[in-house]
Amino acid sequence: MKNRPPTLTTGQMANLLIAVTMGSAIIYIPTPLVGFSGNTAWLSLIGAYGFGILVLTCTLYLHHRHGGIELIEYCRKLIGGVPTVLVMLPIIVMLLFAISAIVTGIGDFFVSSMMPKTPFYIFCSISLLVSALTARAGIVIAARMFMLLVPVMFIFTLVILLIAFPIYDWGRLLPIPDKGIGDLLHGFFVAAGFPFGEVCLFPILLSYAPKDHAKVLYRRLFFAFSLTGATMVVATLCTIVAFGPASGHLSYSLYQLASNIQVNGNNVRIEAIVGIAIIVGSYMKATLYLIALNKLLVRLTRANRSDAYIYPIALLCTMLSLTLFSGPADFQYQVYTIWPFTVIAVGCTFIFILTVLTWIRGGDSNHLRERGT
Amino acid sequence: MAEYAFLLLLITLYVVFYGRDLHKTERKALVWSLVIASPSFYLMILFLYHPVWLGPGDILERMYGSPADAIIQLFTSFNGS
Repeated sequence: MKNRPPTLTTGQMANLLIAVTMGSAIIYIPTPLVGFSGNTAWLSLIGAYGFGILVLTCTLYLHHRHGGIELIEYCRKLIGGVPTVLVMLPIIVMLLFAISAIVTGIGDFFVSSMMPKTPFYIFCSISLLVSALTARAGIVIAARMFMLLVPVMFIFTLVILLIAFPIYDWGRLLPIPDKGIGDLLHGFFVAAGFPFGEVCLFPILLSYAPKDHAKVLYRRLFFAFSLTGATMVVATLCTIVAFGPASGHLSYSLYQLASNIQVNGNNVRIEAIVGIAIIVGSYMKATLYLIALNKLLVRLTRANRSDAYIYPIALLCTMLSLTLFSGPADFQYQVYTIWPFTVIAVGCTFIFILTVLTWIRGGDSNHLRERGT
Repeated sequence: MAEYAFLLLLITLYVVFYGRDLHKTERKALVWSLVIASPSFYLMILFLYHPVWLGPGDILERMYGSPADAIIQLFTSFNGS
């Protein structure tokens, strides 16, 4: 007899959405975005947030119309079994890339800022091992733990942005625009893919949501997504007013911000707090993507255990994180050019196509019958 | 030498963790697990010996690099107009 699938609360689902969208982006997005778009980076972010809301709306529409069943199930109903396997292959590649890139990010951060003499592969392997063990413990335990870790990440970020207030020079926000419309669109493209478009991967986790509080769930998910959007915009604005045009050349803006904070003329060295936020955010995101990828593969291969592939995936992603990027420049190119394109062209387009198909076919017949009664 | 020790430890750890649930795993899932983990061995050779073979990053760049670059170029071309 099969066990009942685990169900999370609406609050936990909102928390997971914050972890997936804000997880690593809060650290990695502000500085490159200022590099691409200059002072208008925050405008690019607002536009990208609008795009993300569109993807989230489509995602929730699919969830609602198909009665909360899993992504693969309604994909099979809409396009058939074999096409579903084919369209899931690029999604699997996306998740493999995402997990590996997140873990590489953790390793890069440690090696470049805190522990330069320790081999890079130590951080990648340990991070993924911890993520794999958390994923193996199950989504319910992970969600409970993240109820504590998401506020930790969020509060630490806000505390740093507030304490850094004395070093802000608001005049640095001007002129707007300091670059052309093309650079604004470039920033929009990057932010629309990473992090806001990544919500296209959320339907894999959405089947854990309770089925009887749909309205509350949707309201909370929109709120969580908006919270992520607002925090990203504030973090980007703070980066601009703290470092001006130099922001684009820095890495880990919040970390740089924290290391420049002074109290009574003394440098207080509280960047380790941001370090915690970076690592916690990346760890949560990697864990959730690992759970999502395992779930996808379990459904595709119809395996008997719900955690059958966590360790093989973790081993593969560890090796990918060590070989995927040939250097920092390659990491930048793949994360800020190839990844946003993949998210928009593959992930978001996939969700849009499913939405249109559902709309044309009138959604799941059972669900429509239920609504009729 | 450190890399060899690291990989040995890594494989041992994952085999031990996976082995704990082996009795609950059906044959089909075991085969799929091997299929999923098998590219790791190719990547281990890349990691240890750095041969000039096709890497995972190269595959992604060949698949998505050109259209991604074209979009960025399209956007930056608006600056001049």
